[in-house]
Amino acid sequence: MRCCSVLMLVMLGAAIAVPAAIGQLRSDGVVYNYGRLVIKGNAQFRQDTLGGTVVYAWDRTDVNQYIPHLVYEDVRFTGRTRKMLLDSLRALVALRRLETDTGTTLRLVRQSAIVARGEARHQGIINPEFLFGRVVLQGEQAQGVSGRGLFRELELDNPAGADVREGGGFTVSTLLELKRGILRNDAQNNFRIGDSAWILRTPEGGLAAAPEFGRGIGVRYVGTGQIRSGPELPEDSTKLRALVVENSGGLVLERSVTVSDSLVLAAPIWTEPDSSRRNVLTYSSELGDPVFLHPDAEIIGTLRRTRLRNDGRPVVFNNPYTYLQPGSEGWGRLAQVSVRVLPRTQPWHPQGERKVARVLQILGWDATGALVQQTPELRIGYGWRHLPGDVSRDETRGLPLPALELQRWTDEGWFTAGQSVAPQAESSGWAYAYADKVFGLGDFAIGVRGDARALELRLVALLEGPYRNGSMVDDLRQRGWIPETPPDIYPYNLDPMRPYIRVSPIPDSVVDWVVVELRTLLSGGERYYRTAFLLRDGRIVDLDGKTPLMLPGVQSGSYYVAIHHRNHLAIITAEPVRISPETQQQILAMTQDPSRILGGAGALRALRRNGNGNGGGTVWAMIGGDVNGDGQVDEADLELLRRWQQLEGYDNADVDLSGIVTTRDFNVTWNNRGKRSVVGR
Amino acid sequence: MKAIRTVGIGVLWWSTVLLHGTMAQQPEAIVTAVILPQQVPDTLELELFVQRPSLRWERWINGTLCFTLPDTLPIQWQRLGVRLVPGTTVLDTSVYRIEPFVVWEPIRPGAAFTRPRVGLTVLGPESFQQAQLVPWDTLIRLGRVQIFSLDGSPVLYQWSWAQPLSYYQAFAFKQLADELPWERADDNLELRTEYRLQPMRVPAQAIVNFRAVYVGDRTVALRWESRSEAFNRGFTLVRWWKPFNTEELRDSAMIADWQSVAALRGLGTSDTGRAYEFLDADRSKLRGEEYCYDLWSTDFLGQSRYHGRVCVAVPHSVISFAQVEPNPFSDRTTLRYVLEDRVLLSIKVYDLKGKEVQTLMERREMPRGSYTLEWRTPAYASQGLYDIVLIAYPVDDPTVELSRAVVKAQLVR
Repeated sequence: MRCCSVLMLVMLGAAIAVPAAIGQLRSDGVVYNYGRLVIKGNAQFRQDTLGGTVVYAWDRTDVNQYIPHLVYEDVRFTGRTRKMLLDSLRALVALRRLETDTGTTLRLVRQSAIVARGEARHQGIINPEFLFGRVVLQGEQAQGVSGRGLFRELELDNPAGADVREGGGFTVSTLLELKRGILRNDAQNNFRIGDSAWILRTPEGGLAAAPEFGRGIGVRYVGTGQIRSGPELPEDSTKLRALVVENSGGLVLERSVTVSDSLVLAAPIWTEPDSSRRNVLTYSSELGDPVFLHPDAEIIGTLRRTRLRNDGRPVVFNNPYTYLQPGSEGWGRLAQVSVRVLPRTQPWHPQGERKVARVLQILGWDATGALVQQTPELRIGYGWRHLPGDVSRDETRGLPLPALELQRWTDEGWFTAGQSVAPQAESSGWAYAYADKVFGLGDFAIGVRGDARALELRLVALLEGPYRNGSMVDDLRQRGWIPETPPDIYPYNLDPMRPYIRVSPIPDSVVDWVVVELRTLLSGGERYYRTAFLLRDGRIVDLDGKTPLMLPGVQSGSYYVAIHHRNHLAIITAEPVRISPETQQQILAMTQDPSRILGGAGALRALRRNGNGNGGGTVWAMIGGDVNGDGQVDEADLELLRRWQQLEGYDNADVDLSGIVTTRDFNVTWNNRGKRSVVGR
Repeated sequence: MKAIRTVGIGVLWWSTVLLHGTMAQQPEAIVTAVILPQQVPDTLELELFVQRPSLRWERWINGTLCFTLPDTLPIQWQRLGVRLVPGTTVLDTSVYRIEPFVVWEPIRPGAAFTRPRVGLTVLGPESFQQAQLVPWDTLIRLGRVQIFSLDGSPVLYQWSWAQPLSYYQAFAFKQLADELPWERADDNLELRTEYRLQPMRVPAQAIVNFRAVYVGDRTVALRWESRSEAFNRGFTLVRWWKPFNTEELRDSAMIADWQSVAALRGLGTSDTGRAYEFLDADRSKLRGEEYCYDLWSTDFLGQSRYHGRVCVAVPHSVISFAQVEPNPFSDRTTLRYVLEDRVLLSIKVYDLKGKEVQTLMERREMPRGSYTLEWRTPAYASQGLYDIVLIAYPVDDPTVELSRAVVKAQLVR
């Protein structure tokens, strides 16, 4: 009130519809503003809302202009007088437009906010002396944000999103909170994230393009659901200081990212968005380790650490139990190490299904970037999900926990890696252990001690149903109908490991799943079952679709060998077959000489080698048509075939394994009417 | 009998062996589907034939025959049905089980599904003797299959064998005798089958000679012929009024269509045509005015096609022509006259004095037409000039009170 030119109006109900410049304004009634109300002093209103355009325009440097927190239709701040927004009980709301001019400073208390529900044009500065000061974009339709001003905290809470307009140019210095909706920026309309600022994003929020990043940005994910990373993660490896994943569904990294300081997980991070893209999360902190705040928190995919500390403490990788710890010789040439962990994934090398369902690949590089194969003595810590009874998450898959050890793949098979201690199981669902004296890197698995050198069986058999013109067809595989896990039906349910088998994709030339059985006696005695693939040429191979069938856990000896299939009659050798390291190169062909099969020619189907034509000799195949899997081909099977004509997919009624049930399947069964398997169950 | 059969099979086997090198890819059976011209929109018929070009087999046992439509056509498959027309198959239906199918979704929840399709599953008897004999190189008829819609909607005609053939189709014969170790008597063995399709020949829709004729009593006869028809449900006639002395057409009205008039129903699809006629007996037509008719046809999909326009005038009920021949005459002459529509007609003869000599016709109702009437002069009539007066009272023309014609006839004795 120092200036005599300042007008003071006391209003008890007035309608203002023409441009008016007012020095002091105190209203004890209601002000109806249909025009432009310019206030160059302090103002007090009893009402909650004020229409028209209201301009707070006091332009003196020696005073403060106190701003009522009303719901304005259109509010602008201009002039050098500092605008004080101190009402901590309610926010200031601009319904149609919020505008601050260049050189205008707003002082906004921490507990309050400016809410823009329409256009927001910010040229001024909010709280130059503090790091807080929240502006919320909370429209119901797409709104614009522009100006070259300084936001401290900018929140987007508009499902329709907001567009950066007029070239953008504003800076968010403390926090950009992407709560709901997309903030649509592009190269021409962009904004800047200040040094050390945080970006907070929920599954419902996001950015359209990368902003101009300052240094040392932190990105934090919160909310419910999974998030696929977007432009909020800087591509420049020097700019991401911290990555915090707290949203319940975890984070899928759509690009490789480097974190320099803090890596905090309360949920998983996937670095491989799909089978074709393999991103890497690089963690360049020397002193710190990733922090895991929840048992589900884990980096699924590749974590590379580029600075290995040399204090003798373990360097933690993808989860709290996966670590590398140097021995007395230190890291040797190792300068960087990456660990790729794929939980619930069967190691893809042969015999992988007898391992814990977790892939563990460790690579090392020296300072020049060359791969390091041999390392000084290392301790490798490893952990996996141990949840007996939970088939969908358990990775132990019934393997004996105390017998599990770390194994490494070489061209000659799996070998024990170092000296593993007995695993421990935690109530959180993890089992963990470590192996000392590991001297190399590569592909690791957690397998049963002593399985490393299993016997092999080279076995050949044919199925009558899919046999056409000299070989079997793989129509089911071509149509993608062979299940990745054998179904829970005979004979696959004979194999106790069946629920843990998962092969994806099904290898080339696979006709179907079969079960190979070893018996010490024709009836009674010990029995051993292995699920395997039957290939088009009759070879029965391991689950990689290539190598001979491995028989882990089988001791050298003589066994009757039986083959079971879901709609063909099982066969078994008439005599025990010697299986040992010396004989395992021999091929056991069950297609040539019926006398080697129990039941002789009656237990097999004679097929012309070249199909329906004449000549070309005879091959012997397993008899098709046992649709119900009861060991005999009879009227019950034919009835099922009559009933399921035209059925498609992986079904026992599809005797010829073409994928569809037609009279062709009926005929295979009819031609074997009365046949019965001699293999007792 | 057994010996003969054995020898027969021996010859068969050797023939096949000898031919094996050159006929490896020759079909052993040929199944032909002929799509018949579609008569009605909601049903399509296929004739299925089988031919045996091979000596390897002689009795057919079972098969799966499956048809489908191009993916691009919008079809409500669940509204389709399939049946074998009774009495059209040579198969003994007491031993052959024929099961039509329409598949538009997985047969069982969770099963796979490749494409929608229709077809027949035919399962034959257990024994060779009961299986259907197919004479060598002779076409036998498996039957006529109808693909129909359950809700009356049109059934398309672009069917083909479902591909790949080895997946959807199957065709097998019954084995006569043991061929150990491979086959036993009565085994069912698949045939190398060729599946042929004779698609429906779709002729052009040819409609000719559309014409309109006034036949009296305010009735117009509309006539046209089709030389061939394609998916033709039938015809629709639209009438316009063409006011006197204008070219403008007004008051169009659909006067008849195939849905309400049986005579306007089309032949569907046919290489041969027929003649159509429709009588427009609507009495609201005005005398002295001209009317035009449009002819449309509607196909199975509801699409209409325009075939032309004809116009005809509705005349007044008057005498438009009268003449005697010969003239002069001696004892008889013939009066010719034309009536434009139905009238009550009087014809009288007067002499020069105006005395009525003879009444030839007295208020007789005469329809539209051209007539002749012979006048024999009475014996007492003397030579001279006579007036033959025709007076017509319209039966159904309020615009005309009467019309009159006088013909002068010279009697020469």
